[in-house]
Amino acid sequence: MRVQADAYAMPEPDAHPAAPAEGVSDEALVQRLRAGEGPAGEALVRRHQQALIRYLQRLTGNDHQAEELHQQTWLSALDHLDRFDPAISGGFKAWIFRIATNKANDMWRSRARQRAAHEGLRLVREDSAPPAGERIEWGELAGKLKHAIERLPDAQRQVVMLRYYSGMKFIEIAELLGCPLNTALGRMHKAVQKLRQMMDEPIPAEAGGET
Amino acid sequence: MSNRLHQLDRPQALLLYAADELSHDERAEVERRIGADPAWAAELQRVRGDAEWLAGAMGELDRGDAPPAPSAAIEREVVRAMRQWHVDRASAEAGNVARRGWRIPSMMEVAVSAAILLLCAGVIAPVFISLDKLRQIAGDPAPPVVSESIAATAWIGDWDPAADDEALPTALLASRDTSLSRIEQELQELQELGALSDWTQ
Repeated sequence: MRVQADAYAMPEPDAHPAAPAEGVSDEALVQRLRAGEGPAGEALVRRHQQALIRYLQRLTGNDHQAEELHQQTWLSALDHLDRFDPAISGGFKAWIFRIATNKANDMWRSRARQRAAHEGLRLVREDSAPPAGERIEWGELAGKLKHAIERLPDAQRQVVMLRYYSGMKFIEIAELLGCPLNTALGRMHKAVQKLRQMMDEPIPAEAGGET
Repeated sequence: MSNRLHQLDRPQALLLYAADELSHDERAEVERRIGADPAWAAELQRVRGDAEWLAGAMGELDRGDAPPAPSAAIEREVVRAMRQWHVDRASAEAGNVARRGWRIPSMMEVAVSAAILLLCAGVIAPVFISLDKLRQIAGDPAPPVVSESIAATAWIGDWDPAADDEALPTALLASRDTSLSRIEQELQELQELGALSDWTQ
C-alpha cells in the first residue's frame, strides 16, 4: 500500500534554461563555491531562490520583508559557508531554509521588542498593502487562502510553509524548529484543518478588498 | 508498535505514513492498523485529501500571487551581493598575502642590523684592547697622545678585506674605506713623529 511521497511538498521548479550546473549536487556546488568559483554560487541561487522567496513571502505576509530576509539569508549562508556540513546540516536545501527561518524568527523577535507581535505584523501588512487600485486581481480561492494562511498561528504557519516550499521531512522540520516530532506533526495537522475550515467560511470584510 | 509510533496519535502517524517517512517496521505496523480498524482507514483518506487539497491550493496561490519581485530581479540582486562577497574575500586574502610578503624584508632588516652591530662590536672592542696594550708598552702614566683609530691597526692587520668584502653591505664598505684612510693617515703622521717606534717592532 504505497502512497504518493511528498504529497505536501511544492513541485520542484523547472531547471533554469541556462543552468550550467544541471545534474550537479548542491553539495558539489558548495565545494566549488568554497574554492572561489562564483558561478557555482549563482547556480545555487537559481536553484533555490524561487522556493525560498515564496516561503519567506508566505511566512512574513510582506513582500518587502521577504525580499530583505531573502538577501540576508544568502549573505548569511556565504558568511557561514565554511561551517556547512551536509552530514550534520541535512543537505544544502535544509540548511538554507534553516537560515531563512532563523532570520524570520530574528525579525519577529526584534519586532516583538518594539510592540506586540500580532499588532506589529498587522500594522506592517496594512502599511505595505498596495493601494486598492493597484492591487492584483486574485482568484477567489487564492485570496481566501492567503488570508487564511496569515491568520494561522506563526508556529503552525512555519511548519506548513517549510513542508510545502522546502520539501523537508517532518523529522527535519522538527529538528529545525527545535520541537519534538509529534509537535511538528500536530501543528501541521491542525494548520491544515484550520485552513480548510477557514476556506469554507464566507470571505471576511477585511480580506474582501484583496480579492 | 515501535517506540516512535507510541508517541504519535493516529493523525500524526498517518501523516508520516502518507509522507512515506516511516521505517519499514513502522510502516508495516500502520498498515496492519489500517487493515484492522476502519477508523484508521477513514483517517488515512482524510489525511490524503488534506495533502492533495493543500498542494492544489498552494499551487493556485503561487500562480495567482506574484512573487515579491520578478524572479530575474531577485536573482540579479542576490548574485550581485554574492559577487561583492567574492571580491571582498579575494581582497582580504590578497591583504593577508601582502602582509606575509612584508615579513621577509623585515627579517632581512633585522639580520642586517644584527650584522652591523656585531661588526661594530668587533671593531670597537679591539680598539679598546689595543689602547690598553699601547699604554702598557709606553709604560708612561701619561700615555702618548694617539687617536683610538690608530690602535685599531692591531686588529686591522689581521683582517683580510678580500675575504670579507662580499659579505658586507656597500654602505658598510664605504664607511670602512673612510675609516681605513683616516687610520692610515694618522698612522703615517705618528710614524713621522716616532711615537710608535717601540710598539710596531
